[in-house]
Amino acid sequence: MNKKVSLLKLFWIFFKIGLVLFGGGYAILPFLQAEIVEKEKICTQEQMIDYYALAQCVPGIVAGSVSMFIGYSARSILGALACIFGMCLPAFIAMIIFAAMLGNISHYPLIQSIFNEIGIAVCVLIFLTIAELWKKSVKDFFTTAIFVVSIAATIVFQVSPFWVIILSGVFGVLVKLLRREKNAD
Amino acid sequence: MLIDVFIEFFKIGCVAVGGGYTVIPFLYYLIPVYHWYDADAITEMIAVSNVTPGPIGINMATYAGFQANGFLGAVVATVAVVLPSVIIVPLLSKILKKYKNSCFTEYIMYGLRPAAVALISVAALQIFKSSILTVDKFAATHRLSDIISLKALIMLGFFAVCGYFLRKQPMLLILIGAAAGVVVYTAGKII
Repeated sequence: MNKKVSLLKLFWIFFKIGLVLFGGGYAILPFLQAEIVEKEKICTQEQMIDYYALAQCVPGIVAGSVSMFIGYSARSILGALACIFGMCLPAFIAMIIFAAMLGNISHYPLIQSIFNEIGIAVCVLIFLTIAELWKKSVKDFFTTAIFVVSIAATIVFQVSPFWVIILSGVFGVLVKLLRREKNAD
Repeated sequence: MLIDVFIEFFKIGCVAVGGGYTVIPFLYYLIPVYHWYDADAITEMIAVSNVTPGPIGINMATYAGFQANGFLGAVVATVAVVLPSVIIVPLLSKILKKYKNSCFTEYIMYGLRPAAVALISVAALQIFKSSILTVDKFAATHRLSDIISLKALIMLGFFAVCGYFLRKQPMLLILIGAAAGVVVYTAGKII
C-alpha cells in the first residue's frame, strides 16, 4: 500500500502543510487527508487515524509526531526526519522573523480580522474531515459507545486525551476478545 | 546557558503530551528559575504563535529560545523540544511494523479510532466556540440572538459552501479565509 516517495517530496509536502497550519495538532488532519491520503496515496485513511491516536500518547507536539509516523511508514527513519524537518521549518522561520524584527503584530486589527476568518475556515475544514473519518471508525454499537464516552470524558470530566486513547485501546481489545470467545462457544 | 536551554526544552518535549498548549504551564514554571523572559512575554508568545504558521508548540519553543539566547537559543530550543518524539516515534513505528499483521494490533485500533475521532470532535467544538460563537455576550444578556453574530453566521455559511467544493484543496480554503479577513476589515472601515 505504502507508495515509495522521495525524501525531498516528503519534506516538501510537510513544509507546505507547516506553512498553512494554524492552531493545534487537530488542524493538520484536513491537509493530511487531502495531500497524503488522496493526492499522493502515501498512507490510507485508517493509518492516518491510527497515527493521530498514537500521537496523542507519545511525548511531544502532536502535529510533529503524526508527520513522523507517516514519514517512517513511507521511508523509515530518514522519512521521519524529512517530515519533522519540513513541518518545523516554517514555524521556526516565522517565529525568528517575529521575535527578531516585527515584534508583536497580533494586536493589529487587520491581522486580527484575517485570523478570525481563517479560524472559521479551519473550523469548517475540521468538521468536513470528521464526517469523512466517521465512516471508517464509528461502525457498530461498541465504537459508537467509545465515541460518546470519550466525548463526555473529555468535555465533562476533563480527562486527559492520553488516558482516553489508552483506555479505548484496552476496551477495544477486551470487546474483540470477548466476542471471539462467544463465537468459539 | 545554551546547555540550560537544551535541557529545559528537552524536558518540556518529554512531558508535553497531547498538543501545543500543554507547553504553556512549563514556560511559566521557567520564569523564576532563569529569568529568560517575563509573564507578559508568554502572553505575547501565545498571541504571536496563533498568527504564525506551524504547530503552536514549535512556535513557542522557538520564541522562548530566542528570548533566552538569541538565534542559537531558538535553534537549540526547537531541536530539543522535538528530540524526545524524534526518538520515540521511530521506535514505536518499528514495534508496530513488527506486529502489523497480529490481530491484537487490529483490536487495539478498533478501540482507538472512535476515540481519536471523539478527540478531534471535541477540538472542533472548542474552536467553533472560540472562533464563531460569542459566548461571553450571551452570558451577559441571555438573549439567544447574542450567541452568534450575523457576520459570523454569514461567514460560516460562506466557508461551508466553499469548503464543500474545496474539500480536496484545504490550502486554498485557508488563502480564501485570509482574503476574506482583508475584505471584512476593509468593509468595516468603509461602513
